[in-house]
Amino acid sequence: MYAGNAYYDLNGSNGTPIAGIALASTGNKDLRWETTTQTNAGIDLGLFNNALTINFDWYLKDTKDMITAPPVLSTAGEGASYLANTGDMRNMGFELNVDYHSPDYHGFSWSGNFNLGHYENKVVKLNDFVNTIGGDVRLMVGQPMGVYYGYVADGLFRTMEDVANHAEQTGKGLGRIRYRDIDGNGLIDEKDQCVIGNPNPNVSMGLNLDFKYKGVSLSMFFYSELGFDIINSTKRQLQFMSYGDRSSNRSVEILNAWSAENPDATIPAISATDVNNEVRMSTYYVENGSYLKMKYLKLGYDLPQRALKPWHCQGLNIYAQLENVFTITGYSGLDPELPLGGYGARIDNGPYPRSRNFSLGLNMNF
Amino acid sequence: MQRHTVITTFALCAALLCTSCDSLLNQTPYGAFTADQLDDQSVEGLLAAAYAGLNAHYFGNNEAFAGPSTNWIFDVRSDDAYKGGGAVTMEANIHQLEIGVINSDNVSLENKWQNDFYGITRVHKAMKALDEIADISHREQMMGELTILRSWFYFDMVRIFKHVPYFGYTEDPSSVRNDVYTQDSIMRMLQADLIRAYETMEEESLSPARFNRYTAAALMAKISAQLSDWPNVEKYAQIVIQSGKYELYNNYLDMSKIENDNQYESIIALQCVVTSDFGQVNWSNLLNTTYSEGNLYGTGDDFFLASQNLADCFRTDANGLPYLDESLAPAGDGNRMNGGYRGNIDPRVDFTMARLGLPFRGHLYTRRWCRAYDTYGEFSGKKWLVEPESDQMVKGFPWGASNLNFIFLRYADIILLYAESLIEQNKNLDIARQQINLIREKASRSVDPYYSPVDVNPMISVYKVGEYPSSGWTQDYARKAVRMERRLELAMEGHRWFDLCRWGIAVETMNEYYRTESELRSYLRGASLSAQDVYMPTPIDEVRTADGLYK
Repeated sequence: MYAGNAYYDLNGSNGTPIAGIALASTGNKDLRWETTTQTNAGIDLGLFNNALTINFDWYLKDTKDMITAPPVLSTAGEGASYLANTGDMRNMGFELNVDYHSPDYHGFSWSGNFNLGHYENKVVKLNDFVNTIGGDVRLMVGQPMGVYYGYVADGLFRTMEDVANHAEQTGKGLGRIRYRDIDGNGLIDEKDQCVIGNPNPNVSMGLNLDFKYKGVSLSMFFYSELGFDIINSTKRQLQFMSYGDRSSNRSVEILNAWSAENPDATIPAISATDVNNEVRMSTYYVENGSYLKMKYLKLGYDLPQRALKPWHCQGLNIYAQLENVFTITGYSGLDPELPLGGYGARIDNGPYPRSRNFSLGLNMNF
Repeated sequence: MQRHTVITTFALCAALLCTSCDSLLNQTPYGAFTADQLDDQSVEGLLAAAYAGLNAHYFGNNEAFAGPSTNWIFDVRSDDAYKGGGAVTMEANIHQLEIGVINSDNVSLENKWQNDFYGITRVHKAMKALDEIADISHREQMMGELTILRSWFYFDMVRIFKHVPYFGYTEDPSSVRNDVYTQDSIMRMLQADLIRAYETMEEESLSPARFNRYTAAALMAKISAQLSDWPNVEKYAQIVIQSGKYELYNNYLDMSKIENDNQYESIIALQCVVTSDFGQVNWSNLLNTTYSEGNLYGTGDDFFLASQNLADCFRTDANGLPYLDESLAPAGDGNRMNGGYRGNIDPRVDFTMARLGLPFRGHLYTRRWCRAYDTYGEFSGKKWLVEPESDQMVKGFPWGASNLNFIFLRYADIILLYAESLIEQNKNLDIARQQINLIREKASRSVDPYYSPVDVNPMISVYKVGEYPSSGWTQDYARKAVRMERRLELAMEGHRWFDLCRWGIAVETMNEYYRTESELRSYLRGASLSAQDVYMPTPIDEVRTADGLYK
């Protein structure tokens, strides 16, 4: 019970309102911890006198009685929703780690570490009431966590025949996005939505390499995630004149928007309005986010001991480091490496991009 | 080297293991008062919460303006107003309503549904408490107040949604289907409740903010009008008029003055009050504050602007009457109503919407006040804003919020419903004419250029409002007159859409509006309204959760 938005100026005096009484939330005295059952199987191999080690670890993790807030009908009133142990989730995957340290070849040596991870997760059950929770990003029974949900954009209408032959779709027209009639009833409506993307990567990989020759060292780190989807929401702002304030900036891409003279374009015709509701969640905004990044490259030099003697110094290392060296990706936005949103979604709302840092350093040990 | 491990973990809440048999059998119900906890003060708290439901502000600001109790989004559905703001995609769900696209996943539907049922649930809890408490003063009166609130929320539901689950305060709603009663049959049950409330309640309300028997009568008239139950409109509107409790404002501007809260025409009003946490300001209209120049109203979002179609209605002819026959109205773009129009006009326009070159609560209104002039034009709404100098207005967020109440049901509405009931029954047409002329007299006396804060300028505009003469006052003509008068008098107060629905002309009016208005507002091109979209479907999230219970 709380005052909150339940208080009211019951006296009509514009003075201190009367504290109201309303239900803030409903407790559940049967709530308990979730239960996790994890099964692991692994192999550790050491070869060539442990110069090469390989670890492989497979796991199956079943989470039972996951805590969810089952939706309640609005007729039950505010605060009627409560937490309950209702959900089940399964995670299955493996991790592979390969590590190598070379012998010394006349002052030259190298080492490398490669890891690769793969997982599949599945929402097994949410609760007795619903099998889906969420909007554009959802928990759905039988699907991985955080799948994207919306319309399938089937390109643009390019001819009047395209427009005429398509299902009834409010706002359809030349140069506009064509949405797929999933249920085939000749009408595009909210029932034509489906799962259109998955934020969970098929594979994530890291590779660390170090090379050494006498006092000179070169190290680098690569990171990659493959086979996952991004909701590129920045396209709404960048490609649609109708989105946001009129005076705000757009992408130069829209110079290549659809028009009668540019019939093969993939960007919808420029319009100040949005009768076709193209800002709706659709595959138009879903992109493959796969990328490979060189996260850093570092060149260092350890000064020889004898040169340090006059300085009463035990070690001196000078280095130059470059962070975020390059990214290889087909993703059209600024950076496919995004902070994870609710349910692990990867939504690009244009966060400040990672900067490429160049640093010079000096480490002295006394 | 090989390893194989199985880890299994279990944990149980220790408290469960310690529960004794006795405590399992004697439980205090959750989320409800027991009879011995109830007293005058807790009942007042439950009543305050029920009244506070009128604010539709339960858990977040977005839910309040997307499913507003002021129903401005339904004026946007009608031919009276545009959504406004910076661009068509801002609050795109409301844009969808504006262009006649109604989908069950539109969040405005869900918010509206939720807000009304949360209100109903608060009312039901208070009703239950009144039943259970042994000793309480004003029991009948408070039951009547709660009945009016409950009727208001349900009336709001059935004017909007096709299928509404209907249940009383003693029923468990979890198994109530939404296809048992039609909209009309629910309204007839509300009528019976309101008649009982009218018969049992006192003349005087327990405070200026609260309801009395005439509030019940007024809502009875309003609901009866939605049913075209004209004898009951006539009877109960007359009761309200003869009560002597209400009177028309001296000046049309008076509805926007804080000192007139709960006086004159105010019958059902949201009590707005600025407190440190802004819990009870008018959240429904949060976005609907003019952009303003120099941050007079903070950083207003400039949603909810009047349409050209509405503005044009305020032009008057040589006799000061509106152009009921559109073909006689001044034609062409040069004759559109705006800041530059020099023909005769009804001064109510300048209290309803902003026009370039005219004062806005004492400040010159210019293009710099318009957030998206090219898209939405110049007619920012005014009625819910006080002068920016007022010490009872918030400086900053929430923009333009003040102690000014929002009136849901106004005396002028009841007078016009009374006139309409006579016209539809084709009796006492001359009394109907006089009633409409009372409203017009109020308009004609609202032109004092020194009445503060100033919104009119007789140096620029020619204000001329005439009364309807007895000659030519046929039933057909009178019907046109009363419908126009409702549009002018109640513009942008959340009534127009529901009037179009009850008159059965929503589809034809809107499609004609889209055709003509789109010449000016390109975003309306291609918009249309179909008959099945007049009333809204049940929100998809509710249908899913209801698991077969709801259509």
